[in-house]
Amino acid sequence: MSDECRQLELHAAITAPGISILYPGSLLFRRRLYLPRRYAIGAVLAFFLAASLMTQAVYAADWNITQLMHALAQVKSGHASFAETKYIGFLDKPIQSSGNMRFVSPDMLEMHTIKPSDQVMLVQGDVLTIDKHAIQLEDHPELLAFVDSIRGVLAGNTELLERYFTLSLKGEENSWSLTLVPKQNDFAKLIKHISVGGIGQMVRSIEIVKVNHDWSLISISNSSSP
Amino acid sequence: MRKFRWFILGMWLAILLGAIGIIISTKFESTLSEFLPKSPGVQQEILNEQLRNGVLSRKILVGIEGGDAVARARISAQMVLDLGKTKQFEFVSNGNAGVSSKIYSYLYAHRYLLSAATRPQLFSVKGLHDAIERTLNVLATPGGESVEALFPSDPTGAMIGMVKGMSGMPKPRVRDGVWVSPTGNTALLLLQTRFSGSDSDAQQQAIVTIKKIFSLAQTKMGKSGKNTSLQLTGVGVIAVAARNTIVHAAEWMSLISGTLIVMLLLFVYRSVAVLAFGLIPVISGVIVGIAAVSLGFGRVYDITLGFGTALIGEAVDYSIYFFVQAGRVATGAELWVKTYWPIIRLGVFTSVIGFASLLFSNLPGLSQLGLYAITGLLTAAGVTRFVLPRLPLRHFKEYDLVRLGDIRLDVMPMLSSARWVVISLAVIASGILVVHRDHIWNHELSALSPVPKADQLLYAKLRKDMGIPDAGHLLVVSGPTLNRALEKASKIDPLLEQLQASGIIGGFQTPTRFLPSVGSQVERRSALPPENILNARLGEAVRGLPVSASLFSPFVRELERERRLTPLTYADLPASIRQIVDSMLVHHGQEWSVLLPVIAPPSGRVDPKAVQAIMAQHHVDDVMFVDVSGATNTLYYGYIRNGLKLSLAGVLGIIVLLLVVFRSVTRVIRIMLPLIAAVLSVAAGFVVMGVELNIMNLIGLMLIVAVGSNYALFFDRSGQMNEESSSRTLVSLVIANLATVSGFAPLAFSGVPVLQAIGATVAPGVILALLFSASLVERRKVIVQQTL
Repeated sequence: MSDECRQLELHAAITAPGISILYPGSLLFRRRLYLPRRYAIGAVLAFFLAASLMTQAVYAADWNITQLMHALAQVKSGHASFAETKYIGFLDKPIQSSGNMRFVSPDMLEMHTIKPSDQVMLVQGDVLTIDKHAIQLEDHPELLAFVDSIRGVLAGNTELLERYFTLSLKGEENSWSLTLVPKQNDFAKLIKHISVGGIGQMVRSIEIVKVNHDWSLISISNSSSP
Repeated sequence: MRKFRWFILGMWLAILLGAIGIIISTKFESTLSEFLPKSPGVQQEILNEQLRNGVLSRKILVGIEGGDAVARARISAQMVLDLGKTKQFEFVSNGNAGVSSKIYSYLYAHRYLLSAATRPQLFSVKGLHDAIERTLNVLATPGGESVEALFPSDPTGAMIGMVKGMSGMPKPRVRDGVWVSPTGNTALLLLQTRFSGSDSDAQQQAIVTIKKIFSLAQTKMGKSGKNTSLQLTGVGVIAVAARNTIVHAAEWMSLISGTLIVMLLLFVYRSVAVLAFGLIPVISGVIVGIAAVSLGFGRVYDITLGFGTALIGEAVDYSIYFFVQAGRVATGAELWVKTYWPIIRLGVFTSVIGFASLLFSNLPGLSQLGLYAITGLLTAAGVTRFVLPRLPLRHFKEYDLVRLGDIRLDVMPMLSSARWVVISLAVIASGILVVHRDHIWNHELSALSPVPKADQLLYAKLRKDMGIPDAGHLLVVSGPTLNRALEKASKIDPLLEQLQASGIIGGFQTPTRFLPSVGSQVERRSALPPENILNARLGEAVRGLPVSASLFSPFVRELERERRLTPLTYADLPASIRQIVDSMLVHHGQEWSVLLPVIAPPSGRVDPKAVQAIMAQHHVDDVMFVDVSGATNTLYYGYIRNGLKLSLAGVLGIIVLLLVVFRSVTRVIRIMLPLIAAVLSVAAGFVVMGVELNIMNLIGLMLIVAVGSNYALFFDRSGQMNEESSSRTLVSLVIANLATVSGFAPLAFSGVPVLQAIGATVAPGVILALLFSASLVERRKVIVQQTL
């Protein structure tokens, strides 16, 4: 028996934990998945946040976050296709994926990846589902905080949003960039910032930069398919 | 009556003293299983074993309600701390002890021994290439970052595979760092006692400890903890509650019926002394009955005692008959013995034949009731016949009961003209029963449970909140050793995976995920290539992939480490893992069984045929598929049918006895008809009220025949009696009837389902039996009088 195992047992014996029927099904997710997955959700939600702009006729000269928020609150649904490129430090080359995405107000978001393999990720209400594997967002306060903050954006709730991020808007209406920088939470330990870029009424990109210098770029284009 | 006086009295006293001696050393028990079948199939035995002594029986589920979430979480944390210090619990958890991370660490540290994917092909050049490419694809998809950290140490995705296999299992939610119910309104703790759930005393102590520690934690919280409340449930908790309920009910019911009967008898006898003498047969019956059960079964269930109160109601009849019918004792006793005793004796025998059918029941609770009733009644009757007349009853004040008898007699013609009402009632009742024939019997075993519905619901709720699945469906494999049973289970695992993939089942659990058989582990270990070979293969495998082989040095090290591990055994399991494995194991006798709980697909129904088909297809034939509630209920259905047969046999036995004694078919029909009419009417009454009958109602129905036969027999004979005897008979029957009703009716309000069923059946039934007997048999009397 390895030392590691013995140590584990010792530790277990001291704290005497236990549950007869326990499903460590989401262990991986709990430990490894949530934070990274949040980028994706965040990115996508941010996309819709931006995409909603194009449906709005209000383009005041003094383009600001307040107006952005107000406009977002009007958005009911959207469809698009996406392509994501991930730059991971230990890989020699970036890796790519692509598929379709869908958003229905107020809280449903679906990402259907087609390449390199088929996978459906769905956030609906408080449940995140990946290929039928459901995770309660409530069980994971840090994740819930993030999702709620994005919902805050979609609902035009700046107050809620600023609880989690520092927001800054650069550029002008036809070439803008909304940057979300995490405030002092667990999220900030992993994510440096998220930048949503748009040209005119189109969101073109969502860039997620991690603290460990890995980064990913999601390119979004209008999709004719519903 | 002076003959053998001292001999008989001495014998009676000796028997009583002996019986008391036996009772003193008797073990009184209250378990949840007294109405579980005694000699069930293997399936049931496994379930019973689990219920009685299994891990599940030792679990106590704790819910903290009220207050706010933070207060609940803090109380929960405080309780875990304090409960952990006591020696009563094997473990205590509210989810914050890092259970998940411990399980994760265990899986991670043995991932290649535990993963079913570990095969020689996986570590070939092509196998490695394909596996790494697959993992890279996962990495590329949105959310794929989840496997990023694992990639260098597990590029073949062993962990992903294991975790995926375990997905779809419910688990408690976590809020404010502790387990909570899905609504978030209840903080949850899970405890496991060191003692089995059937050790009621130890469980009781554990409950007291938990309550004490909760109130301490509550006090510590100050104001915010004020509105919180504690919920406790679990097999042991319920057993304790059931025991308390039954004991309480037995005590209360004895008190209430006792008081009612005593008041009734005082009113009739107008003498405390006579009353005291009148209770002698009953008390003797109860004492000898309990002693007989103790001798016959080695133990006495509390619920049998509860039933004893009802027995008072019938056994007291004998002394009522004696005192009322004998009238002036000095001359009456001998006359009584001559005139009435044969009728009572016949009545006792009919009752005994009725109860005898219970003796053969496979439900130990029922056979106890049978033995108790038979010995109790025989004793009470014997004492009435032989002891009472020999006791110095000088204080008996003759009370003019004839007047009362006259009143009854006046009522009789009216009742006798109602005979067509009785017959049509019987016909209508039969009609109702025929129409509702599919809904007469309740086929759920829980109908018998002495556990109040509310407790059952709380248990179900907290269990669900905790994510402990209902024992819905199980696959069971057994072997002479744990390892053999695990080997068999591992053969089923891939088949269950197929079923899961095809959506026939929603998922399953198996202990082999945490503890594969030694054989599987050795096989997997031998599939792991040595370091130098693995390095060479990796170098080739990464060609064309965007990674270099050097990234995987943690993977190479891990493989080398696990290659040297000795196979894990049960003894090696850390506590948190052992809990999981234990919950799926049953050790009974010389055999180990592995239980594989199957989760229903979203449709909520598992098709047993589809499961059995795939097992047969792969020639796995020593696996049992158990639909737990279905199996239990099917089994119980079998007992209802069996009980029905036994009851019919009992009634048939009574008829045969009467035929032998009377040698007249019409007479027997006259005697039986009112009883059967009463039984049918009561049963139809229940059906009309929408109450499904359980096996206890069935017993009640038979009791109606057993008790009612006395009435019918007396009415049958009353035609041959003179006016005075006739009156006395009627009066004694009415009083006896009232006494029986006083004995049984309180049971209907006892709060113990089993006793309730008997009370609610017998009380109205005996009233009907008396009325029906009077209406049907009186006619004969009238004829006799006319012909005289």
